[in-house]
Amino acid sequence: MSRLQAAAARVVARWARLYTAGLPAPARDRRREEIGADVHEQLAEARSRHERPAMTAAALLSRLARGAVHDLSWRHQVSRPISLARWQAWRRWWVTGAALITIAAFLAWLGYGLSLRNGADRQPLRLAAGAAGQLASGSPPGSVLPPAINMASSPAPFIIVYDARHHVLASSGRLSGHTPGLPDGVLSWAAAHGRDRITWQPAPGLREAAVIQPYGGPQPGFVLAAQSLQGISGQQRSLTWTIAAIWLAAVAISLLMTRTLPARTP
Amino acid sequence: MRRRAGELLPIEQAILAAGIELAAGGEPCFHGFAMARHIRDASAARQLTAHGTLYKALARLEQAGLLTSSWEDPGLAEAEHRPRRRLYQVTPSGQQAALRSTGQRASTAPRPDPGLSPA
Repeated sequence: MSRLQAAAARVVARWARLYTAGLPAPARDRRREEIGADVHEQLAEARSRHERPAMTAAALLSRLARGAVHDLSWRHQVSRPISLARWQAWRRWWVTGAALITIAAFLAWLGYGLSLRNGADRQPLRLAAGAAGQLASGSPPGSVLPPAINMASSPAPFIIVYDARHHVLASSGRLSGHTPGLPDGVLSWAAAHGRDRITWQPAPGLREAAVIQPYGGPQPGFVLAAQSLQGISGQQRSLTWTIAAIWLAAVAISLLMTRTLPARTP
Repeated sequence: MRRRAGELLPIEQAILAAGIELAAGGEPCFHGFAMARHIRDASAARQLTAHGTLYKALARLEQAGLLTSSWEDPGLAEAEHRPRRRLYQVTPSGQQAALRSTGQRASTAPRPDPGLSPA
């Protein structure tokens, strides 16, 4: 076999390897073997006919080139059911993985968010319990207050003392020079059920972690201790973004991982 | 190429006709290159049928039940120091399809192509 013929035969074999790559082994091996045998027979015939090597090489390459479109269309026909089965298996795994990741991300966001919010109640709880104890033992309302603050600008805690008729007796929290009013029913609910924890929004964009603690003694009433949620809101926002980024990355990774699943032949 | 069910493409007609001719000449089985060579010689063409065209058509005919195929005895190929051949044979359905196709061509074309006619 001349170098030209050998080179042409190599090109034909490489083309066959290329367009059969990734196909099921029976179809792939059969086509490669058939092409190998065909080329061998053509070279043998060329020898017997004393054909010029350049002509044989050109004939081999011509057969390749003229049939290339049919090679590709045959490949498409053979691989179509495999691709479909692979896609179906891949989609099933990916949907399951993405659903699990989404549930886990939501639970993490909810759990950590609640833990952040509950953590914001710690200081108001301590303040309300202390003030309620003092008021129950007869201390005057003004004596249980921490330093007065402007709720719009200060994150420091404050206390408001109410009498049993829900009138403000003393307050260290001010908003535009006044003590803001509580929503209807908050103190009544605490009177009926005991201590309550709420998120209070005394003005748009202003959120407070508030604890309402009823107290007894000679002049019963309610203590409200609260602290701004401004810092917590920032942490919750960054938590939301972090979990969203982790969720997105995890879904993308699960997508990549499922693409490497072995193909399921129909 | 779109075609009606049961209709044969020219390459498929040529393969079946050549297979029938070879069988009539005492070679009931043929391999890919032998088919390409027979079609070239019968139609006085200058070139062999392209690999892709030939083997795709063979696969299609086999799938349609007009041909059967099997690998030859590996010992035989080894003894002759060559790759083993995939051997094809025209089935009775293939013979009927070839005859029908020839009849259709005869009814529509006044001058049949002698290279593609069954023996």
